[in-house]
Amino acid sequence: MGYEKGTGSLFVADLGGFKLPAELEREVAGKIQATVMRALATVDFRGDIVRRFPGDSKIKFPDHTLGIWVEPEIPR
Amino acid sequence: MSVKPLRADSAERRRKPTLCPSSRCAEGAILLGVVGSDAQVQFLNQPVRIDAEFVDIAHQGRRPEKRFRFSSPCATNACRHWTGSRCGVIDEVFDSVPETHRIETRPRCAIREQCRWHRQEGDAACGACPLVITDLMVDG
Repeated sequence: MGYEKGTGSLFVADLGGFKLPAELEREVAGKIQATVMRALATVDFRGDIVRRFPGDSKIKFPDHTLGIWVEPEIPR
Repeated sequence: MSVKPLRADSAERRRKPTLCPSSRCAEGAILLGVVGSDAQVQFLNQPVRIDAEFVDIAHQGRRPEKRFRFSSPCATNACRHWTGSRCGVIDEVFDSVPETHRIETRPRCAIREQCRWHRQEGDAACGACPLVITDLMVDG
């Protein structure tokens, strides 16, 4: 999966001088955002696999979890 | 899937709780950014609250906490990383990430004013934050 730092995705549908009715405009914007979020949820650049600092092995938290850990939930 | 942009004036932000910047993929959490192929987090311009559909889709792949960064209210005493007075994770991060690797410019961040790590460490936390991957467990 490609990944280009500093150039975020931007989706544009340029209607020039034409403006949709406000309600329809909001509906379309919501659909576009929802579509983008569904796509975003699937991405995996596998960055965690290349990240290995010398200090990683010293992390003492269970399973190297650097995030919230609220019991009775367990990190995995 | 509903998307709610997060906007708040400073007064509203002051009323909001302290946020954990390395939380779980759960409905209602804030999606802060995506872990890139260079292992650095690319923060979204406009963080959004994730809904059940995002959570469901994200869990169909490798663990979302390896691929994204999420935020939710800091759980303090309810979190095993709470030392009694502070979050121990950022201390662990400072020990793990060499200073030479830390980021010099603060990334764009919509939760900075409420961030637990920033409240503890100030801008120094922002230098290490993009290098944090919540789940570092090696895939089995």
